[in-house]
Amino acid sequence: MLANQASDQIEAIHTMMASGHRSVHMERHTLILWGLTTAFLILVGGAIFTHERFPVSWIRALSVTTFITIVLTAVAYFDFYLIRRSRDEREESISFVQLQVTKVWWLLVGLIVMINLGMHFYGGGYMFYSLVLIIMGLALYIHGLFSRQMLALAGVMMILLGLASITLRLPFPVIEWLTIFCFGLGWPLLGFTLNHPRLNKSLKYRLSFSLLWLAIVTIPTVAIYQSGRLEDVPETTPIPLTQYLQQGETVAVTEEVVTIPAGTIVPLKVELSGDVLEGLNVTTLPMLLSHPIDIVLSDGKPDGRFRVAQGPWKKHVYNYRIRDFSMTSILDRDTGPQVQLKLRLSTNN
Amino acid sequence: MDALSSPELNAVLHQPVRTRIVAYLAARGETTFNELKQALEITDGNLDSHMKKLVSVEYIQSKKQTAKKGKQQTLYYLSEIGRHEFENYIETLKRLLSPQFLP
Repeated sequence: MLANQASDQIEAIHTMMASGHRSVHMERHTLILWGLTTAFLILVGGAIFTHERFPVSWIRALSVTTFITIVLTAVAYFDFYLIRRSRDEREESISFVQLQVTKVWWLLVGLIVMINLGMHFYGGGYMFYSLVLIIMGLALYIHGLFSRQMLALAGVMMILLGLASITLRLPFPVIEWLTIFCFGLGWPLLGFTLNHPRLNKSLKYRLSFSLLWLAIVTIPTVAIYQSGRLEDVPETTPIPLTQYLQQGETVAVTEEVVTIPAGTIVPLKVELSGDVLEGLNVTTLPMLLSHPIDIVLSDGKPDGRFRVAQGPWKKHVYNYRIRDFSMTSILDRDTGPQVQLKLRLSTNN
Repeated sequence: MDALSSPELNAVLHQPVRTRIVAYLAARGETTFNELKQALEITDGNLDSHMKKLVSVEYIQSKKQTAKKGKQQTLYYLSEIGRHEFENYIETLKRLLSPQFLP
């Protein structure tokens, strides 16, 4: 009899202690505020801080970082103000754990800002949005560990989306739109549904909602990317390079497509500079084109659209990459000092 | 109390609602009356009577905090005595579950 009572009491203690430890509460406005702000920053940031407006890279880097920092600090302050206000209205306190989780959240947001700044100087920008998905997914996951399981699940989904975008080498615009929809659509949706009783009681509902959430985030991404790709397809028929060269500048065409055949020798102009080495002149390296390439000319100039061997149309800004870069110095008695530079030019994202 | 006699349970804590209150506070740190009411899913009056009992034996203490708009908010937390008694109570429950006391 006494042992049964003791067993019941211990079970009640476990339950209440678990409930006490899960004292962190995600407010609806937090997800809406951070989600919409992040989507806004991605959409607007790229349009404001262009190479044309900010040609000097370090000025552009500092301007972007300052802008992002000001916006995110304002959001963090406003979010915390709203959290305190809603807690006061409900006569609730902000627990010690909630304060620590909030600090972790701010640290992770700060980490993203620092990564963004670093990538302006050290490269790797095409991975930025994947890292944003992974890091903010981690922030959601940590929050979810102390509050709602659905949040932890959403965090895991974002981490997986980020990892998948890197491992599957998704095109940059896809990752960018995926991030925009994750934050601009996925987070507010989470905010509105998080406290639904069914989501918090049944794993089946949580898994179903996760699949729905993934669909809501990925379907618009694919739709926008596909419509963008259709816009990239030129309407004119390709003409061979020989015909283009023969016709001269007499024919005024707004858009034309020129096919450069495989086997063409393409001179590669190289301008190099460095802190201890200075280029004396522009060197031209002859390169052999291994596959035919179609390039689009708008008003007589390449507009950045191209395709390799009748493949999909691409934009050079997202697909020209330098990979497998290495530099070694050699000191040979016969030839003297040499620097060997190896790199691979890629047209795949 | 010898080794074979039943260990004595703390009469204040050996009450289902009060056990849950103290367990919640042990994990949560400090909390308001409203949060406790929501966590325990009991009425104001019921919670109030048990809180009065726990405060009277100094297991629970309270402090005032000024919230937004100058409103006063009372936060409840476990005192050192309360934490110590709660740990002793758990030890006693564990002993009751040891083989010598099982039927």
